[in-house]
Amino acid sequence: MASHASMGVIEERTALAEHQAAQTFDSFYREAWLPVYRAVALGLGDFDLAAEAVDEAMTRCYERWTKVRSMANPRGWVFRVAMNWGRSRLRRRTWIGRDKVPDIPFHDPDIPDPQLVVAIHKLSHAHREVVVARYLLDMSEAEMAAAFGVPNGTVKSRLNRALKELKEAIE
Amino acid sequence: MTLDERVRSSVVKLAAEIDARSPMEVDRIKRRGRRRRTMKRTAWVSIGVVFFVGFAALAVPIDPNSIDPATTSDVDTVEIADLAVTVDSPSPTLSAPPVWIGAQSPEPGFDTSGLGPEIPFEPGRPSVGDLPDDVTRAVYLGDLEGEPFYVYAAKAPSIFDWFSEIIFGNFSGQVLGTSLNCCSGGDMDQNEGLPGLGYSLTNGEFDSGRAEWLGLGPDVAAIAYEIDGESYGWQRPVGGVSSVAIDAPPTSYSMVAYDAAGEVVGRFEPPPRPPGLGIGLAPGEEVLRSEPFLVVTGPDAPEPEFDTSELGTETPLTPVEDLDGLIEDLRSLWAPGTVVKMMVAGQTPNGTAGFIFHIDELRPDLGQTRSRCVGSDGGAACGGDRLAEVLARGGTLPADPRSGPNYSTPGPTDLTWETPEGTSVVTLRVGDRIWWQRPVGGLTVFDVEVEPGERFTIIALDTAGDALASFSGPEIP
Repeated sequence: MASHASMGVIEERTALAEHQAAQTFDSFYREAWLPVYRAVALGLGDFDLAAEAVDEAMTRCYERWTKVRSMANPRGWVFRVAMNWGRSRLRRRTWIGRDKVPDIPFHDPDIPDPQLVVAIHKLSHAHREVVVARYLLDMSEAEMAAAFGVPNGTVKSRLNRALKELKEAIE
Repeated sequence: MTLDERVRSSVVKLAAEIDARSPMEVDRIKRRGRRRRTMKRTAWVSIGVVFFVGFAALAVPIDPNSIDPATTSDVDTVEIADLAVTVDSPSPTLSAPPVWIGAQSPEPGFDTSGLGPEIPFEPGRPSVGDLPDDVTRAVYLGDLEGEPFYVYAAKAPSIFDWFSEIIFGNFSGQVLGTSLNCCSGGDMDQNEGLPGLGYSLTNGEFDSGRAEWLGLGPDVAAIAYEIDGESYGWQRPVGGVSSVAIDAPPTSYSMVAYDAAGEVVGRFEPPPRPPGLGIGLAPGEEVLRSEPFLVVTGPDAPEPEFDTSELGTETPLTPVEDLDGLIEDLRSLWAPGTVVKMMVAGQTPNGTAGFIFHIDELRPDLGQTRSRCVGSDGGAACGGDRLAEVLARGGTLPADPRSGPNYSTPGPTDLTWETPEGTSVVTLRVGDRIWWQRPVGGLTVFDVEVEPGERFTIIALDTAGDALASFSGPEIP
């Protein structure tokens, strides 16, 4: 017989599954667009491109909604598709020597950890992506691995390296 | 506060700094989705990689381009981004943008039962609302899979498309597309009239694909598709265009064009793709991995025979620490099976990896067998073999950024450069700062801070310290 604790987990997962099954694309879109857009904007460093990328990813999400909504983390899937799409656009810009990846404009002079913020900006795309997915979208390593199509070990290694870089930057 | 908490706090704070935007209306997203990526012009380096399985010698050597729809005088045609499309009337049915109705091909007068099921264009009605804003003219061919199907011309969406058209000698300022996006669009329009098969992958997973043949003559009554040795179906072209969906990446396929009497008037059958296309090891390369594609590292540049202590700060290339991650990135970004070989030069002290990789991409119309990309984690420059000739090593580098190093701006700048034969040391000067590096596998990689308004100069030196080639970049904007 399942313990109370595991029953709780089962109930929680059942509730989550029911919520996901019942959730319409419209409500998912309304809830997810802005947080995913902000995550992609951070990941790509280009706001206009991020908006375009999320629109594209949401379109693909709608096409496959039956499949995507049953995923553990549909937001993660949209994030990854948008990042991939946006990064390909950035590569095209680089190809013609016109890559312009702007810094995030900071409006707030009281940023608590400026060195850390600069270090986050300096992370490679792959490392920044896992940091944003982990800390902004609250994705677990397993969810990131599933969404990014890479082994768990790769996600873990990227996250560890990214955190190591960030730690070194603020020490 | 722990590092974990500090990072979370900073990321959340950064995200909050990004102004909220209003998302596109959900109905508009759904309309776009229903059109199944309709009208999206995807160039050959996009994430959902749409690529050609093959264009090569034909089993029956009939040049598809020899089927010229413009040769029959009693057929009305309109030009859609240089593609002649047969239409039922010279006057457009809709205006702003003009939309014509495609002309039906002759009805087959022979037994088609051996060709598999018919995959017809169903009659329907065109609507300007189906088309994105940048379409300049279009021909409606009917409905396919319940969706209106068009062949269209659109404004070249980016300077990239303009450049690629100029490079490949097909400048029209317009891109060619078909509604369900197979083998045309973006810089693909130089392939107009050629049959092809393309498919897209998202995160390495097949999600859709099509086989198409455009530019068919008015005498073509049926196109029969055979996939993996089985009859897949046949279609009467409309407007000289045939297009069918596929449900998996095939290992082999063919398309046969018949006239109304059942005579074969064209055939397209690409040969099987040889794995790796015979690409091998260059002298001095060392194999690091052989799966999922060949991963090698190149030889170190020859030792300098002069004193390098005056050159500035050394930024040596060292073995890539996260080779698994780099390979996974390429697998997920460039689709399984397309990358055939990667030469990893190494990584900079900041962890930026530089590499050259090769992608299968057969385009005999351009004399290309493969695309080749040079770059780093920050971005790669890709081109087919013809472009690779332009980017060839050595000699005097023309004053064209695309023939010099790849670089991104503003700083920190990733800069990769294929160095001339015999290069021992490369120096990079930005303002009064100078760095130097010994290339690996003929590739040099820097990631340095460059401020707006600065220029950079990169110089390749031989073992004696004499300059072999140099390149001065434009002012960093």
